[in-house]
Amino acid sequence: MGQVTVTASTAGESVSASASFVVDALGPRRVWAIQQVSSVANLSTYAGQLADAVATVPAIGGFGVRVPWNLYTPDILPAGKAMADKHGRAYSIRFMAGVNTPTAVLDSMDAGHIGFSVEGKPFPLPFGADGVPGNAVFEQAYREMLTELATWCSANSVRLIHCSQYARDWAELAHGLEVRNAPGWTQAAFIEGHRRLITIAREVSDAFPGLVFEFPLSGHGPIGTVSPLLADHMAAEFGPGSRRVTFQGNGWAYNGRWGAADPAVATQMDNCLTRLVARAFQAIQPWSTPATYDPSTDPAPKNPQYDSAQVASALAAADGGGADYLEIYLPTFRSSMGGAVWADPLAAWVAD
Amino acid sequence: MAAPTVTVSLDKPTYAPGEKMTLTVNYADADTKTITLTVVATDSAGNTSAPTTVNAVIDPVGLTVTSSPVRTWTKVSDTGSVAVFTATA
Repeated sequence: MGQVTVTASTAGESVSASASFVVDALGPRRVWAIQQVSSVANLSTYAGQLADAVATVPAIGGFGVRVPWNLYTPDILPAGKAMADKHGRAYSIRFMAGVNTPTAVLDSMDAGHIGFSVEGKPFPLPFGADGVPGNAVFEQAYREMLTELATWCSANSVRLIHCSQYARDWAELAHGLEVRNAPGWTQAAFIEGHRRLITIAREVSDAFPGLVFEFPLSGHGPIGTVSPLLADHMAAEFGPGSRRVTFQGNGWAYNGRWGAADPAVATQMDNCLTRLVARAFQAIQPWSTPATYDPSTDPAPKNPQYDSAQVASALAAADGGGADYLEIYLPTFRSSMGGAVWADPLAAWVAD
Repeated sequence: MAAPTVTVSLDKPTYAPGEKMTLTVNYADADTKTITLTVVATDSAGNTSAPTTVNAVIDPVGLTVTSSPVRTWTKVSDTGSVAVFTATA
């Protein structure tokens, strides 16, 4: 929430009055079709799927592109927007740090700020081996990336930027053993390191008041007591109820919002929902079943398309979390994958 | 010495990005008085002009507008008791 203050002064005295306002960069409810890409050439191969998806599910309001940070090139921004524009849809961009952090950034860090996945891939840590929160090299690169994205988005009427956490495999929080066993780890340092990213986003956002910055608060735990504190920091930095920042649960499905197998963890994560921060949910995976699927001869689809009851349950879970927008993987909406099951429920959801 | 008074109102509570915001400021100062000066010019030969008058305010109320997040507020009108500012959301 913004505030304007007027001070009336004479030589001897002054008095002030204020009024509050909201710049609703987030806008009304929206459903995004999202797709990870590796290059402009790769992105272009999804043009047909996007056309099919918006024809199958007209309630799709936006096209979101996700790209590993180390594969990001600036030409992905206009290329993706052109695809969205062709169908009159909004556009958004997401970059993923973690093991996808550019090599040049990782190479500039001292060893005390680098962790390794079980596969041996390096990723940035939000604290140093000395236990001090933060990672100056990562923070500088992160600030530059956010500024580059915000500058382009602001100039091209793109409103939503999906920020990465330090992360490991995706953009989400990574607080697994690879992080907790790293020298210097404390939960306090882990939290403070991530708070600093939120602060950077807020500082960048000051020059771009029409943009929304989103942070995922789901991920690889234990984060049940971490994520609500980060939501608190989002509210503190952007203001309670701001429409310029959102958190996201990236484990959304018909049976939950956070991807937590343990109901107790899901309950902990739901504490985020009590915070005065806008929020969104991202499908935990694509759901699709090829039309050619023959259950008598084919193995079962890995992540089968939802039936009507599952769609209804998923949307009820989103409503229960107060979702401002939803992200669903592009293949879910393809006509050949049974995407039509989403058409009417999502039309009703965005109109609600 | 009485303090000035000021009230503010925006034309809407919620704006879309890029939308024009209009801020109306009502202000006054009980101590503010307008005085009228009558001026007569006299040259070295002793010729005098016709008297002319001019109004002036001693210690007028100054208005300062700030906002968070930072925006540029432009004054578009001011009657001496009602000022209107605009900014871009």
